Amino acid sequence: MTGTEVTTSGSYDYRLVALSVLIAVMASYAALDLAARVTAARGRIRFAWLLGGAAAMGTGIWSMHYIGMLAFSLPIPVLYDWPTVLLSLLAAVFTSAIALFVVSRQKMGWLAATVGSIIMGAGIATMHYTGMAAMRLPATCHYSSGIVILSVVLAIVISLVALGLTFRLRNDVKGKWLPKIASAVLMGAAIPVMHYTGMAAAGFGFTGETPDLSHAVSVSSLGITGITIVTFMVLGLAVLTSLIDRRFSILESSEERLRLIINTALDAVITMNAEGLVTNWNSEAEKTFGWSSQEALGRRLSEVIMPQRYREDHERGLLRFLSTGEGMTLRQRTEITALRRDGHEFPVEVATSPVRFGGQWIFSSFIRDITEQKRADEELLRAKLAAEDANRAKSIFLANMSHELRTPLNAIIGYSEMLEEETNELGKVAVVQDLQKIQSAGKHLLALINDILDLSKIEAGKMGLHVETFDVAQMVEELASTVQPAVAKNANTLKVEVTKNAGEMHADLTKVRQILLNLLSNACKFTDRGVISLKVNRRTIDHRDWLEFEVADTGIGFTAEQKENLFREFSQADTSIARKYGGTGLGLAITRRFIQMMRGTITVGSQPGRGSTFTVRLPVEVLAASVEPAPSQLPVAVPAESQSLQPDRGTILVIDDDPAVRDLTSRFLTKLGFQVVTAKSGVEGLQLAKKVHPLLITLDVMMPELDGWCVLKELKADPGLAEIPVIMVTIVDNEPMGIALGASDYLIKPVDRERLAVLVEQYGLDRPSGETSAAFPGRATRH
Amino acid sequence: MPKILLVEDNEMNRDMLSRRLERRGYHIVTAGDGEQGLSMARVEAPDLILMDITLPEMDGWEVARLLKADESTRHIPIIALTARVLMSDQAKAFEVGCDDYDTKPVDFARLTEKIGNLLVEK
Repeated sequence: MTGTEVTTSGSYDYRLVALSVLIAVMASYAALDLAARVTAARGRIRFAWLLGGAAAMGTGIWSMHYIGMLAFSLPIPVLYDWPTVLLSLLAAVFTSAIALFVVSRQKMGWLAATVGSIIMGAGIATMHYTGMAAMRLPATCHYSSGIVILSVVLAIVISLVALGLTFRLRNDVKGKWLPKIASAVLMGAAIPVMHYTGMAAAGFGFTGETPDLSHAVSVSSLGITGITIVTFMVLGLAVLTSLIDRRFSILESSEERLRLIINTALDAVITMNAEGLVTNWNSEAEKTFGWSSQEALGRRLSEVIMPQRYREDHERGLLRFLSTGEGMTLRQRTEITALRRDGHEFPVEVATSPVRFGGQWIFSSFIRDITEQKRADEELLRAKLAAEDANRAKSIFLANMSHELRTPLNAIIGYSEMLEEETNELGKVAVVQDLQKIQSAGKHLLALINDILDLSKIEAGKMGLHVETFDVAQMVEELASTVQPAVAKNANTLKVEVTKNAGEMHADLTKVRQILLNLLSNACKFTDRGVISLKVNRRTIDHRDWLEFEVADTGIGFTAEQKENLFREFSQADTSIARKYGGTGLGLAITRRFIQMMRGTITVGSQPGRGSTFTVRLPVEVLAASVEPAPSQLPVAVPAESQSLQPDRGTILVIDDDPAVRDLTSRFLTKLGFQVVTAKSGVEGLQLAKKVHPLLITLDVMMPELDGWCVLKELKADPGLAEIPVIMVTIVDNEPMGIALGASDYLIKPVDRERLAVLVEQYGLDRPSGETSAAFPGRATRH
Repeated sequence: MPKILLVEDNEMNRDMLSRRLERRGYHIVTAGDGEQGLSMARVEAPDLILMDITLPEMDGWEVARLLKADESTRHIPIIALTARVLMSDQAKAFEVGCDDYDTKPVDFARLTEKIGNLLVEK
């Protein structure tokens, strides 16, 4: 290769230059896009993406480079040595692989970025100069070392920028395509800069010598077209694959997320299609029902999770929903009985929602095993019933005790009264006084027994209100004279002030009197040579009329701590009070209970040593929720005919398994003007009671399955039903049992109709019928 | 002098009440159980009966029911006396046909008032 050197300068075909820039932009876009996929992928797939991406990107860069070379035309024919060309392609692919690897890492520190861009820049330079070395032409190629260095530095800088941009933009963010395209254009423009700088470094000395053409090929314009098309195809394919993969991976990841959520849910999540077949079965469903999802899928849901007896209902319900769109148990929580694989039945709470999906109905159910919850509830109920039983037993005991105590007291009081009369006639005054002491002690004892009995009656829920209308001023006047001896005892004076508009009040007279009597006698007891006052006022608060009774004294009063115990049973302000003043400590407890029964309030204020004030507020119109009328009000016989004129006096529920009894009783009660609902079993009775909330229930004892005692217990355990009076109507003679369980009355069959009428009237009158014609609450029926 | 039949099983109370009523000028005949009370009522034809309820064997309710079912004794007013003060007892007293009701220990003034009223009505 000797001879004259003629320096040749080439010229550029600008169309090809433009093409090369376009390819560079495309390759950059592909690089950004692929970086995102490589980042998102894991394991082998990541490796595949890395390789494929590197191949596509490398091809792009390489073809940009070659087209750039071809754009440079020399006035001599140029051939290319293809093994060297392949080598340069390898360099491009390798460089791309490095680049993708660096940008797809979790983090990219400065060190990684720098090392990465040096390797990448070096790679690009290697590719470029290897590519140049592939040229076979009758000329020598020499390089200006300064420009070569510049081109390498440029390659590294451009790589750094490209890596940085790619790293930033690698994550798929919806709607962020603009920065991606912008950076692709920037990178695409920058890469040719390096290339053309590298080209500028080369000078060609024409020698005329024939180079080694053993592997050389010429590149025609057809070849250029071929390279371009293949490059675009490779790059396009890469971008397209990446696009499809992204779509799928979004879908997959959201499905995966959903699957994970459902499978880790603590409820059994099951879906059923319109044919009633299981289409989804999560792992909790596997645990709950004992069937694996493989076994359950495709089977009839009703056969998998429902006891035989409910299946038909379920299938019917499904058909009804599909034809009418109505479903009783849909879109709400219901409790049903479910079946486990081993045949065990257990209670579950289920919430099913129908979903319209692809023109078909599917039903998704969330099911929860509530065995434990039920057991806890039952235990609670049992404990509550036991406690109530114990309390009732206590009340019955007290009632019996009181009877036993009264009998000897009767003799004590009676004989002492008789003796007093006799001795009085004989003029033995000293003995008379002693006899009076016996009498007064006996009466005191009787009062205590009565208090205890009252309290036990209140606690057993057997104390009723007997409301009547009375004149307030007159009641107070009578009270003042009753209490006069007690006032005089400690040399106190009583001041009574009754407002002129006190008027009448509709309340339980006996209880109002007892409330005031208790407060006044307390005031007397704890006051010495002081003033006791009773003030009565009428007030309107919140549109309701109230009577306010204020009992004040100038006695010993009480402290804030003592106030705490004031209304508690069997406790007085402190024990020394009991020693000094006597009393059981029941008076205020009973007083407060009475006030509560009439929906009134009591407040207290006191200054120790200065006196105390009790203020009682009672509604002018007390609503009777009572059970037992006062004897004077008791209707002895019921004129059945006149009552029949009153329609809709309220609903009475008759629970009896004997159809004849149901028929007779309901006819009789209907005649009295009541609506009658009948139930033929205990279970039905309970359901109806909840539904119609009757005024009164008559209940048989001997019934199959759930007997009357159980029904009674359940009724009294339900806060919503406990207030409904229940009359036992039965051949079983066990009144104490009935009363102990909370029955209001007890009739033995054959039923005395008049007696029944009397009872029904009592209870029927005590509650306004408007209150009882309660709406049918739209509760879901089970199954 | 009005004749009163006192049916009471407790001897002390029977003695006490009969003596007190005698002091008020009533003629008192007594019975210690239900059976006896029933026959006494028929034999003695009293103007009024004071009936204790808690009696052995045949209780006061039963005696009252039978007396009120009997044509010859139906007109005799009965006052039920019981140491049980449950409201259901009151109701039951009227149900079996008693004309009045009172509790024990007896409030003597109140009882004599009730006796007086029933005798006047008669």
